[in-house]
Order: sequence, then structure tokens, then C-alpha cells
Amino acid sequence: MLFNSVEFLIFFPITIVIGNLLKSRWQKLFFLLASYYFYMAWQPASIQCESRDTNGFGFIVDTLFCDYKINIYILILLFSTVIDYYSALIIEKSGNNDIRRKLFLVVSLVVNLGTLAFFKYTNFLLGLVNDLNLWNDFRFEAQHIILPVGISFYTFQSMSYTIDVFFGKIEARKSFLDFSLYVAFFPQLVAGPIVRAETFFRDLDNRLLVYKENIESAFALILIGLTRKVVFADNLAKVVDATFLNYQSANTLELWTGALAFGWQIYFDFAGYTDIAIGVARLFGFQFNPNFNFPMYCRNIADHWTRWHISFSTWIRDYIYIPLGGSRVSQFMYVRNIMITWLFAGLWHGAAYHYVSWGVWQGVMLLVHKYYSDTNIAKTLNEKGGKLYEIIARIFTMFCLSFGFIMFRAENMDKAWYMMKGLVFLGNVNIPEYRWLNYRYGILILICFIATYVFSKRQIPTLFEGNKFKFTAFIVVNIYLLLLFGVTESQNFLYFQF
Amino acid sequence: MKLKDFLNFLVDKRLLLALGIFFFFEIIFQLGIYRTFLKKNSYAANVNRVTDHVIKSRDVLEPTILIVGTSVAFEGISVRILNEQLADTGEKVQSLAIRGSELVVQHQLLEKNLSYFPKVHTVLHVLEPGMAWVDRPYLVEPTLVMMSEVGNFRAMSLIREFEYDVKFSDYIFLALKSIAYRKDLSDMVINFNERIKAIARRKKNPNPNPWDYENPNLESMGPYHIDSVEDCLKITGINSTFPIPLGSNSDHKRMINETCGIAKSVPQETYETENTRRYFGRLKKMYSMIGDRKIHVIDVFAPYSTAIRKLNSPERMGIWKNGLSMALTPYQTLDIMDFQTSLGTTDNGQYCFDLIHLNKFGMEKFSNLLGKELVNRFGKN
Repeated sequence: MLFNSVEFLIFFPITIVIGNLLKSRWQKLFFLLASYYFYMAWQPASIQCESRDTNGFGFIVDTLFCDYKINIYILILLFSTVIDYYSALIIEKSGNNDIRRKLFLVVSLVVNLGTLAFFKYTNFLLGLVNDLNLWNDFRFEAQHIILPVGISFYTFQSMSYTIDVFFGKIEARKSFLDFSLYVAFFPQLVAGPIVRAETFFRDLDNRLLVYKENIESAFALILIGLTRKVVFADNLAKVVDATFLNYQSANTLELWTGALAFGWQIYFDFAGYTDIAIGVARLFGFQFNPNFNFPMYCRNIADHWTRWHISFSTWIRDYIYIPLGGSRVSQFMYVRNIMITWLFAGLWHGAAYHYVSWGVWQGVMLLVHKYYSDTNIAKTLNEKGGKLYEIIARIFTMFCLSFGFIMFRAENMDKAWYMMKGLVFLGNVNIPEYRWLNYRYGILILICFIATYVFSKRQIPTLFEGNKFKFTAFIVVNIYLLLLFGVTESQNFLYFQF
Repeated sequence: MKLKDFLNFLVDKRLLLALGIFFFFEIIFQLGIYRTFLKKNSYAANVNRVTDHVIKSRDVLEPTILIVGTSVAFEGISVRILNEQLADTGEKVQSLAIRGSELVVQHQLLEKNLSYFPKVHTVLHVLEPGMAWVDRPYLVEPTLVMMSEVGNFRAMSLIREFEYDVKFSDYIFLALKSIAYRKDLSDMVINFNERIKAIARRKKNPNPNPWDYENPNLESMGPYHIDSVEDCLKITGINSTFPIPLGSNSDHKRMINETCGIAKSVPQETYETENTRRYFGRLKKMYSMIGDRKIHVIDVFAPYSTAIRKLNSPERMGIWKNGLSMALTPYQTLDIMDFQTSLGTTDNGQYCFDLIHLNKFGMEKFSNLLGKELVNRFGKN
């Protein structure tokens, strides 16, 4: 079920009303069932009810979904939930030297990573083996495996819980209902944010304290999330799609326009989703941390990664980078830790060379930034460069990020490589005809910049303080932006594919 | 959260003020104040312009014969020529043909406006038997926009009567003019200068004729020498190296290509299908409404490019004739004027703007032929 669909428009108020009429355990149970329904309402792309499979596993999957609206992939979610719930309980009960502590941590990691690997990386690994040609031209055939929506998000969330219990950061949750809700809570189930157990259970235990101000900011977050997605991301998608479709005939300026537009598109798309998710969760009493903090408005790549997909970047920092040793190690180990972490980040986004390359690009940029910022030139410029240096740094960072986004968006490395060459080697820099770009998009991008500037100064919860008509103006502007410029055909959120 | 808090939020003055602003504009739109500012030649503007102009011109042109149809009739028939030819018969012709209007829109237009023309005894319904059945099971935005303009609340029941698969969002579209006008408003914001200039130009140069439009297009398909739909797609395709002939231009070439694309999708079946049944079922509803008013219907088969003439086999024409007869029962028997081959049976490209529409020369020739036929029919009285 998409947040920007009519189904959600009906589902959401019903959940609010019934959820708030119930108390305690019944309320939690209701939210859990609503979350499972939300998840099952997602129709895998492979299922075509008009032409369903007639035998095998496909027949069972298709019949259950088409005739009974049961999405069989819910079983994977339940499996992950059961394993992590019991693993955490056993880990907590076992003494420090008990072998079972480590065993059940391994069980949790193997089950979560194994499930993720099977669904996400099987074909990638088979392709890798084929490319390496290890067995004298024997080639594995690609398997027909559908990636269950949200699997990368909920496995990471669930896995981080057992790791935290293992290291004694949190206590294992005794209530299976509470833990199931933590894994499946619908606002964050399919595309994050990846919420830490500590945050979720803190709010779950104090859920009824939702004040009028929370309702106001939740409403504002939902509205601005919709605007970011339907107005900005979906309109920019037209520019991006046209560039990536006609990349062979596009000139350098057109390629840069497409690359920059994609950076903004994915930001508005994903930030829009998380705004809605955080807003919806806030109406149920959950205060999730912001997942984006104006990442396109950053001084350097390190600054960018403190602002972009924060729940994921802090996850890989806490569960991969720091356990590897972080930055307090030798130069070699530091470079190794950075590259392993970002290789993993690339793989998490998708099982393909172009995602891996994107991860490597992030690692390289971070290393270059680190060594550059230690130089005297950088220190001098930082101190004396003033506003001009800051503006140049911000623009340069945006261009570097957009260059990397080519690898993220291109369907394969051949295409990415072709486009990157076009970006760097100025073969044809004539003013582009912008066959697909009219000044409607110019106006939109201008609004993006203004909105970014306004909101980066004051976050939503404090935005409406002072003049009481600010809230009115905010609603009117957003409603008319949605009405006038919104793309009405429901577009999937980009991060659903991960 | 307590529901009480949520309800308090819903009646918050600031939220109510925002909704008040939205509904203030909605009322303005519902009252029709925005109609004069609609973008020229948009679907909504066309419906308003044609009907308003025709009704305003009744003093000069009080019709006895009314033309109904889509762009084929709009572009292909000159009301001026027909009235010149019928001058001695006492008959007067006016046109309510609208570009892109499905049967449900034509029905709604007639239902609303026939009462303004009490002298009308005949409706000329211009049909395109060579083209796709306009039989969509679902509603498309142009149809919703036009229906909303003719009467949004009546449209809600009419779409059910015409057996469309109606979605909840279709009702919202029809109920709220803010949604129906959303694309027009967006264009108004983006192209504000051009829109204001267009409004000023329209006020400076009002249409002095009692008819709304006469086809001025001189471009023709002739120099392209198109024999078939496949031929057309090759010659006019984006990657075609065929040079644009003198008198044509890239827009014209693109428009020919678009109509070829439509023609390519014409159902080739020569037997009755669910689509044909749906189409003639809808037609029966429209003809019944006309028949109830004691008005006679003449079905006019318009001429079009010879490049698609071969698509219309005798078997397919049989379906048309059976369907039309069924739709006209019990009010009258089938009354057809068939002009499909009237502009020639070999290459008639010189009369065609594109595969479906006539150019100025085609319009003049077809109108003269239609006029003669009408004189033969009504001149004796």
C-alpha cells in the first residue's frame, strides 16, 4: 500500500480512530494486525492475477494473493520476528560465558543475513561466479526470485535488536506482541527509517502522551512529505527518466542536468516517504528521529552523510564501521574500514555492480575529503575562505554527489560508465535544446531551493511558532502545490526496491 | 493520542481558515467565474466556447438541423457552406461538434442544450466507422473535464448510466472544480503572461460569425503519398529521413504520425465484441434521448484518408449498420448518408490534414457534397 494512494487515505483514518478507541494490549494487537494488513496489501510485481502461474510455488503465491489477499512474503517477516525474539531472550538469560549467548547471536545474524542474501544476492552471486568463469564455461542460470518489499529495512532493524541485547545496551523484550510490533509497525516497515529498539520501546511504553503540538507537526510532516514526493520527486522524475533513456544522444549539459535532477529526485522521494512515515508514527505517539537533514545543502561529503538517510548511516557506523575499529587505527586499517563499510552500504542498496561502485565512490570521496581536510590549504581556506569558499564547497559537493548518483541510477555499469565519460569529457557543450525540459521544471527547482533554505533554518516543530497564520499559509501553499503540480498517477517510492 | 485532541485539531481556526480559503476558490470555480480565463482550445474551453457561442448566435442562426460529433465533424464540416447551400430551403444548420467528445459528452451536451433550439427537427450525427470504437470502459481525463463543464452534478449520474467502471476519484474529479481545473490553473501560473495576452486578444477580436469555427488548415497529406498505416508510421516516424514537403512542417508531420498511431490501434475484428456492444448500447441511450424529443437522427459517415479506407471491410460496416439500427429502434429506421468514398477511392491525401481529419479543401468539398444531399432531402418541403 502506497502512502500516496487512495487505499491509504481510507486505511489511515480508520487505523487512527479504532486504534485510539482501544486500550493497552488490544491497541497494540490492533496496530500489529493493521501493520500486517498494510504489508500484505503490497502486490509483488511478479503477481499478475489475470495471468497467474498454474503450477508449483508460483501457483500457491498467486492463488493466495489473488483469491485471498494473503501476501505469502509475510511469512518471512514472521520468521525473522520469531527467531530474533527468542534469540534475544536466550541471549539475555545466558550467562556471560555461556556458549549459547554467542550461538544465538550467530543464529540471529545467519537467519537475517541469510534471508536477505537469498532474496537479494542469489542472482548477483551467480552472475559473479559466471563472470569469474570458475568452472570452464559452466554458467548458472538466473533464478526467478522476487525481493520482498522492505526486507532490507526490517531485517536490519530486527538484527540490530539482538546485537544490542547481546552487548547489553538494551533488555530483551518479554512481550512477543511488543517485539512483533517493533519489527512490523507499518509507518516504517517498508522503507524505514530503521528505528532502534531503544527508541521504539521508550515510545511504546509512553504512547498516550500525544499533545496538540504533535498532531500539528505530524499533519505538517505528512503534508510536506506528500508535496516532496508527488510534486517535486515525481516531476523531476520526468527529467531524469528522459535523460537516462536518451543518454546516448544527450550532451554534457543535459547529462549534468539529469544527474543533478536525480540527486534532488531521490532526496525528495525518500525524504518525502520518511516525512510521511515519521508524521504518521507521531500520530500514534512515536517520536522517530529525522532521517534527513537537508543533505543537498552540505559543505562536504562527511557532512552529507550526517544528514542523508541518517538511520542507515548511523546503523552502518554503529554496527560495521566501529566494530571494525573505526578511525582510531592505523592508516591502512582506517582506509580498509571505510572501504568495507561503504562497499557494504553499496551492496545493501542493491545486488549489482553499479550499486557496489556507488558505495566505493562514497568511500573514495570520504577518504579524499579526510586527507584533504588535514592539509594546510584546506585549513587556511576553511578559516579565511569566508562565504565564497563555503558556497563553492557546497556546489562542488553537490556535483560530486550527483556524479556518484549516475552509478546509483544507471541500470548497469556500461551505461553508468558511458554517462560518466559524457559528464567529464566535454564532447559537446552546446546549450542543450532541453527537448524534454521546459521552464516549468525551472520554477519547480527554484521552489525546491527556496523550500530547502526556509526549512533548513527552522525544523517543522518550531516552524509555526510566532505568527499564527504561518500554519494556515503552509497548508494552503502545500494544497495548491499538490493540486496544481502534483503527478496524479501513483508512482512507487524509489526506496521500495531496496 | 486522545481522539478529543484530534477532533480539537480538526476544528482549529488556522486549519479551518486554510480549508475556508480552498472552498472560497472552489465556490468561485463552481459559479463559473473562471470559465472566461480557461486556456484557449483546452477541452474545457472548447465545450464552453462552442455552446456559449451557438446559444448566443440564436438570433442570427436559429437551427433546424444540428450537427453532433467529434473533431471529424468539427474540422470537416463548414456551417457557413451548409447554410449557404440551404438558404432557399428555410433550413438552418448549426454545429455542436466538439473535439475529443465521447458519446457520453455528446449525450450530455444535447440533453442540456436541445431545449435552447426548439426548431431542431434533425440531428446529423457524424460517425467515423473507419476508426476505433470510442467505447472505453473507464473514464479518461478529457471526458471528465468536458462533462464537468457541461454540468458536473448531472455528470455523476450519467457516467453510471453509460456503464463506465467508475472510480471514487472520478466522483471527486467531477465534484470539485479545483481538481477539474488543476492543469489549467497550473498552466495559468506558469504561462501567466501568455494567458493574459490571449484573453486580451480574444476580447479585442470577438468572433463575428454565428458559427464557432471553420477549418483554416491548408497543410495536406498529399505530398507524403501515404498508402497505408504502416507506410505512414515509417514516413512520419521520428527517425524518418523523409524530407518535410513544402507546405507542411514538423508539427504537421507529428500530427499525421499521431493519427497513424491511433489508426494502428483500430480493432480489426469483423464480428461483434464486448466493445461493439458497449458502444452501441451507449449510442442507444443517446438516440433514445433524442427520439423522445421527436427529433430525427441522420447518421453521417464522414470521409477520411484512403490510407485507412481498407481497414473498414464490408463485414465491419455490417456491424455498424446493425448496431445503428438497434440504437435507433423504436424511434425510427436507419437513415444513413455515407460519404466515406466521396473524396476519392485512390490517394485523396490532398483533402486530408492527417489520417482522420480533413484540411480546408477537404472540408469545402465534403461540406458542398453534404449540403447538396441536405438540399435534396429538405429542399422539396
